[in-house]
Amino acid sequence: MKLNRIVNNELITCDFNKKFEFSTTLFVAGLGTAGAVCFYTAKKQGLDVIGIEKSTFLGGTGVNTCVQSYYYGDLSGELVNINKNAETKNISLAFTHPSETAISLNQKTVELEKQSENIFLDCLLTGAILDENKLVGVEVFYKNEFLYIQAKYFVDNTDGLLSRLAGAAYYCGRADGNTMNCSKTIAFLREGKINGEWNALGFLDNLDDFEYSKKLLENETKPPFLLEKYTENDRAVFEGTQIGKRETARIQTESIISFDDLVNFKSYEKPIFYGFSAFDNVNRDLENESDNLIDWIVITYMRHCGFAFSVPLESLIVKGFENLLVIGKSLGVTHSAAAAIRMKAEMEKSGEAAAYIVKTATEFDCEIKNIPYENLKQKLEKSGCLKPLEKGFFKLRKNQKGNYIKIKMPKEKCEIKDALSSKTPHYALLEIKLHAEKYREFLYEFLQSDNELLKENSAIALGLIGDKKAIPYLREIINAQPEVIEVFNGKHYYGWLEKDIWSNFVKAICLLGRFKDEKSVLRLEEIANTKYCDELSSLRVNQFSKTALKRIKL
Amino acid sequence: MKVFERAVLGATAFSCGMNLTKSDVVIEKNIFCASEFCQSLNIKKVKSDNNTLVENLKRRNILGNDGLYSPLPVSAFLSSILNQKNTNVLFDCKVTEIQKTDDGFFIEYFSKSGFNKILAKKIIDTTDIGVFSQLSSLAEKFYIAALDGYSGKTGDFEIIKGHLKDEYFLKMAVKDFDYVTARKNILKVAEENDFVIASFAPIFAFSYKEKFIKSDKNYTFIPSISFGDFISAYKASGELL
Repeated sequence: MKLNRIVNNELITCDFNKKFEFSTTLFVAGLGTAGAVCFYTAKKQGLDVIGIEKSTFLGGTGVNTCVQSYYYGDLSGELVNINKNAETKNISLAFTHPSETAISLNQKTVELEKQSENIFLDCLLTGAILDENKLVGVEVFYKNEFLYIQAKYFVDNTDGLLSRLAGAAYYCGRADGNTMNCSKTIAFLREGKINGEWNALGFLDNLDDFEYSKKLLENETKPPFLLEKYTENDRAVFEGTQIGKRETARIQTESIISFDDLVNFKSYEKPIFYGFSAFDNVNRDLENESDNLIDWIVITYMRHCGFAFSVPLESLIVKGFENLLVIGKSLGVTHSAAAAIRMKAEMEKSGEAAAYIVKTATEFDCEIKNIPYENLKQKLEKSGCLKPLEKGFFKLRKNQKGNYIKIKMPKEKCEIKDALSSKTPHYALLEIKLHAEKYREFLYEFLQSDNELLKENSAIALGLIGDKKAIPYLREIINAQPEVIEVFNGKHYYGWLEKDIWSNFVKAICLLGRFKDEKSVLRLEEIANTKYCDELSSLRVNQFSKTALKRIKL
Repeated sequence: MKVFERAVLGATAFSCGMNLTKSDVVIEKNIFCASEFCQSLNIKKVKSDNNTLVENLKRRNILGNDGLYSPLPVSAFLSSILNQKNTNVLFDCKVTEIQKTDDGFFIEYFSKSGFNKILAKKIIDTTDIGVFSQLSSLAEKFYIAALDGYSGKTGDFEIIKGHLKDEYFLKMAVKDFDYVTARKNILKVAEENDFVIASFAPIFAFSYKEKFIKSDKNYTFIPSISFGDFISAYKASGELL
């Protein structure tokens, strides 16, 4: 047998000939949002299970970084029972935005800990033990010694660490190697409710231990961690014990969910749960994100729209391993899709589903990929974990019945024309992106219109679908001096920029970069160095211009 | 491999008061400072004699004239002091092995980049009970929860007060309990006495009857918590080292 460890970021292998102190059917590495529910569900199913967690609480990022609410996500499955059972008047409630669902993480931790036999807290996962490429055990550091645990099945909720130790392929984030921004939180008790406040820490993945530590230390010296003066209303009651990561290493699984899969509502043969979210990417340097994410967030401005999606069994099965599942934020999705498949409810369901998958595998004594899906499906449907959701795009606002409001996408020529003639062309732009050929000829027609806004938005739409006919019109947009058309909250906005809505000026810059339009270089260089009167807008415009220039010059 | 003059184990109140240089390294398993007096919620009344640290804390309304303080802001303030020192800090790094050699000590730690090793000529271990719990038999162990309001009830538990008006904490001795058992017990007390818990401490609290220092061949145990309060620990490091 071999023991794999990571030493200074490199996977090192050596012979293993020690004894296992523990043996179990299921080993859950990481008892975070997903892992804790996996462990809890596995115990309820009567499985023999051992779980380890590096922090001193169950609940992972949620608990340790004070994420006191569900925002987006579909609340179904075991998490509903856990939350209900967790309610107790002896632990403070959380404050949260009215549109979100508050949960008290302290209440939840206590409830999850009712199934605490064979849990090792404050325990590090340090190695993986393999027997001819099959994962058979792990090395952990617990109470100051190394211990060895043998298991038949493994679930990885360690931001992909177990999978990487086992030798699984993985990839990190976007093209420049960065993932979504990390953060750190501190919770205040104000008027009887807990409220977490956080600072963005930027990208931490590629920092060495010293640089990483320096960044964390510097953050401690700033608000909300250190205030100039504390009032009676500034009672800090809990500080995040780990860094809030919105994205972790992406493990190569048997199936990878992509951006296109989500926006086209891909159906799978073996779904294990459904989820609901927007593409919640909080990175400020959007110009460095994928074209798909820029299309969604900047060009079509669908940022405040959500959609349902399904997750297949294969996106939990680590490629090349017969007995290893990955859950939580490391399950099989691309970087762009990761912005949507990370909501607390979905992470919990991934854990629950993993427990049922292992239960089914033990019942049939088989490899995970060979489990009879119908049998698994029955379990998932019975618990509510697998609950189909309506396809479509939805506003992230609920109606009086508590349901998200479905968006009626423009489909007819006149509907598309009306939308493109307005300052809110978003749904039309998305519809055109998804069904380009249906609308291309209409767009050519609209380009000849006397209606300037229709012409501009149609040029943006053609640029969005990669049609070079857009180029001369896009050049016109960036060559024009953006005029102030609206004053909002005392600030001036250029072009059609309103509040958060991206102006056609920025969209055109972006698209000309994609077209590698060399004739735009001089103007883009000018824009990259121009200070526009609103600082935030200026930064965005400058950065997008610089990125467009880089694309053209490459 | 990086080589250091001194490796200080624990970013404690004691460490924050040390005269640290570029040839030192502070290794902390958590991601904050002075957890022994702060994140543990183990409020130990300080003597608020006037000195720069005390004045600064009072000015920010973190410390009162009665010696009581708000724990998490104290941690942040001590972090700002450590941040200003020209030294090396490793947060989120758990020491897994120490080997004595002729040149000093090889210290192996586990971090986000896996296992790493450094060499240090001397070790100063300021952690609660030693980095490998070598001193666990010498210290009392507690678990503490922050309360949301307090009715004034007393019982077989200790209530400690923080600086802010409604800042109260429920403290219980836990012997050798694990975290889950400690939380269950403290919640039981809360239920029996109608207390409301705002948060559980993420770490155990420890207490010594008296200051503890033991030095042997360049390895010094000097638990910061054994100085009784964070000001004493902070000042002592300047006097002792």
